[in-house]
Amino acid sequence: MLDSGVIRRIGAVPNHYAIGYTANGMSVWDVDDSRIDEMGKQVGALEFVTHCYRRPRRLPDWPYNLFAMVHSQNRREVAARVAEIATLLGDACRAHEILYSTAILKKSGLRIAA
Amino acid sequence: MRRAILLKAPSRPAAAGFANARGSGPDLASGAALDEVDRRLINALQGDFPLVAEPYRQVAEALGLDESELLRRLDSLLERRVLTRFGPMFQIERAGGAFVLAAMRVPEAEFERVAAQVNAFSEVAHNYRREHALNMWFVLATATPQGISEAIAAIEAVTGLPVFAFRKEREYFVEMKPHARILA
Repeated sequence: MLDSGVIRRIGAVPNHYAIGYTANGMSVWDVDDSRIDEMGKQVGALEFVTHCYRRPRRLPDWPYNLFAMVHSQNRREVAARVAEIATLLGDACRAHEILYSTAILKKSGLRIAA
Repeated sequence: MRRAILLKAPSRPAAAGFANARGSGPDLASGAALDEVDRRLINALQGDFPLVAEPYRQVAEALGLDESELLRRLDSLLERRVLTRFGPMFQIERAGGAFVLAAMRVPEAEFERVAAQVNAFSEVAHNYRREHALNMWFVLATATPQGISEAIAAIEAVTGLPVFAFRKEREYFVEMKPHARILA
């Protein structure tokens, strides 16, 4: 399953809060469609970005098409890292927001039917 | 599969199973007491676990630890929920399943009721409260892509609120990075 990619890796999943990363900001970006793949790869390569995805916009409510998760010790640091992403994206990005988490409502492993 | 079963047998084969920390409390607990060895262990275990006959022994040796000491510490980290799990990370799409991020705009007065209703779905793997008009963000994991649409329809029916699904169009995936390093 590792060779086929069904299992991505074997290892530990830390509780970010327990190891000191208490601020969790989901940064979301409205990036020019013609440049998103080029820019997404660069954002995903930043060492502090833990997940980076392209997702569909939901206009008019949701103009953002790039999601980059940033974990840090506090919101000030998250904001500083998000500012780095903003600099990297430059004029390819029209708008962005940071959605901070304030509670874990549920966290369990996957459950698929056997 | 229970963690205790996994960890009580030293030198077990790598592919035999995985562990899940129990519970999923709503706390943002932090500040677990970690010594320097715990930190090195957590960092080492985020890389690729070796697929060899005695993987725990190999990891222990690389860290300069006794195998039984490594197992004891791993058990303790899971027990204290410093690690939420230890085992294989599945790429669920490659197994025919589906994974979708979804969000809802939940009126504050109804937040607890809706959280309980959403969390009751086994298809909801994670759920976070976030500061935004879209204030509830959860991940749906199902055995088939069709299962996602069914789960969304069921959640909308139970809660009476629309669900925004944000399907992954592309992942800008990077191999293990230093970000995984925990604070020194």
